[in-house]
Amino acid sequence: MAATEKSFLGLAKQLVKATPITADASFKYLLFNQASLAASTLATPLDPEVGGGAMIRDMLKVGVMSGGAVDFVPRPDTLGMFLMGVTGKCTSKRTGFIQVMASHSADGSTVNSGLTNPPSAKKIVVTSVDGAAGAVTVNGAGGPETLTLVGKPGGITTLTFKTITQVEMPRGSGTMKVQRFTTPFTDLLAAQTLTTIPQRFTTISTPAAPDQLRVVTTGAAAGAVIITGTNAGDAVITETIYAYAAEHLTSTASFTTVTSVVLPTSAGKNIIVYYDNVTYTSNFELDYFDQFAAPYYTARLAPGAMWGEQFQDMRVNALGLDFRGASFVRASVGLSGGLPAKVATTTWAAPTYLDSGPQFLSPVCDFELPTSTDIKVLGGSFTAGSAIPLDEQWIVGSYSPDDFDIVSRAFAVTFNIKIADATLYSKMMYDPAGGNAWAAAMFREAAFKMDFLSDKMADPLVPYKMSISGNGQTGDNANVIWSAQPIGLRAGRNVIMSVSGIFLADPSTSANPISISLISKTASY
Amino acid sequence: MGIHNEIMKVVAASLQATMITNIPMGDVTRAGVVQLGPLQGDPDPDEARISVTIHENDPDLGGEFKLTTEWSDDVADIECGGAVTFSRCFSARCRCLLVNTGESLAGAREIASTVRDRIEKTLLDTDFSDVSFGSESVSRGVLSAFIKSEMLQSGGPESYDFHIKVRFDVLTTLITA
Repeated sequence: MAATEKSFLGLAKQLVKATPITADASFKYLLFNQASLAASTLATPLDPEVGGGAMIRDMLKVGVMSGGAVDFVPRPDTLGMFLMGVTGKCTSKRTGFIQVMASHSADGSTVNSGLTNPPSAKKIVVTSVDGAAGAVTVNGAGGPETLTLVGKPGGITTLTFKTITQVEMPRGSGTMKVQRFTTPFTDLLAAQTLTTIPQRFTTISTPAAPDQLRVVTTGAAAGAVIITGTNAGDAVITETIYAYAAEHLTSTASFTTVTSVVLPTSAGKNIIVYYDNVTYTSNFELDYFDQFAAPYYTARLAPGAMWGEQFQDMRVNALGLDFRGASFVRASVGLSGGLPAKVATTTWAAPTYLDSGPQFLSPVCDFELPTSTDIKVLGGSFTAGSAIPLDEQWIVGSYSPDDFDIVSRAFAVTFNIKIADATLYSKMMYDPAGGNAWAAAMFREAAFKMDFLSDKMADPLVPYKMSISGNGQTGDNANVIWSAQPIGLRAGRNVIMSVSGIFLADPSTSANPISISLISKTASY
Repeated sequence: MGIHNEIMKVVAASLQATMITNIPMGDVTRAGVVQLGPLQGDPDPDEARISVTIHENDPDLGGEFKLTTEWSDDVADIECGGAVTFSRCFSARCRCLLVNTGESLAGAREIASTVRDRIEKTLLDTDFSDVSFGSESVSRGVLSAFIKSEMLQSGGPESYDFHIKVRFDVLTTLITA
């Protein structure tokens, strides 16, 4: 007999369909309350035929797939995988800095007062937002270490590109260009003006030799730049870099105290010194260029740790978050996948990769509708669904579905709200403008706050947090429409109103119809 | 050592701050002692005047209070993959033995009520986010929905005696994988 608590369930994102992940360290395992994830075999009996007797004569396997549902208490790190699964795109940037030294003129001085020590041993990040150049020496326990700013605004790839096939730039203003990260910083993609929609460029010069790349910005340009190309071995590589108008250098040493910072002379420029807290903000959204895109995952399951199963090409078809007062936020996820296989668990080391991070806690969550107007939410849910019909996926010549194409997506939220006046009810049930006569117009409001928080801090200044938002607009341009259900009155109870919000396509296409940000310890999804 | 002691130390530190450290000397609502476990005569209740003690579970089942239902730790949630979430139950007891200080009944009641209110608010405001022991950590602090408290009055002029008990729980998650 084996206890269910000994079971393991892990997921890893595949680079491509039909190639399951086998590297143990690529998997993240989650704690879950119940799961019905399994292989699913389609079997069909032989047709009854005249002369065949009274009984079914045989049964044949004609297809196989995998999938099921998992109920769990979400933790920040692994929740990101499912958010990625239901949105399709994620960009991450480092966040949650703690200042060692506030912005200081790069005047060649030695700063030895007003410095803040870290709560524990931390690496140091030296930053210039305006292009200061020169050596910065940090002295203290764990150091000293000298980091040399080269006066380059922009982000730098960690990968080395031999060729560049595509560059995707974000919405915004100002300009961005891509350069080879070797002096004299040759332009590979000339400066492009950012607009209200993301842009893709496919005509990009090839570096004279394989090299790292950097993105140089002007004006207010900032955001994730996705660069695709090939490496020196001609393998396709993609890297997302977050282009700041800033330069960040991270020390190799960890400091427990900082006693002084020796600054270079860089006229008119400024330098800030932070502790590196290795916390990331990941933004999940629909891919502007392909709203149906989604990654494939390989799932590993070991029921009772007795045997191992692998399910490849899994896609997230549903994610639900349920919340009510005085409780953990809970989640359920639906997965559809392809060919199953029985595999050995010998090397999994699941406990090593188990996400035992903090739960999201409803008492510290924060909801406003519209923004700046608190609502008293007793409970509710957020649901995200990706329709993956299999009707046209069973093809001749294959035992498993051809693919798991997403044909539509839906996002919705419901709140059970304790109300003290008729304001919200009137807008939803009668007239969005607040009139007393029933009006045909729907109440549209996408400026709201829906923050799920943990009471644990991702770093000393930033808690683990997930925020859901629409396009941020109010009125006709808002992309979330709200409706109220009839209020049921029960003796001895408070007046409760149930409301639903449905996310629509952004009317202007100049904003994301849905954005979900997640603060966690995971660098990318 | 264990998670219980770690939780109680945090509670004691919070109560020490709000019941003693942050209350001016001479304030009649200032407690004389905050400690883990019973006083055991050190100091005597009349010497401490207002004493606060923190206990695992409730040592007072069947005693003078009406809160006599079971107050044992329990399993709140089990997760496959190796995690158990416990409801860890505690109680804070307070005795206000107002001897030789001449409070009127109204004054004595005001002191006891203030002290009770202060204990409850302190428990709700206590930050448990960094409390852990081994692979067990606090996953939910004290919530108002789960606080139960009671106050009993006895004694008389020159020796009003108020007994306060506040039951509270926190959730802890133990990673067993």
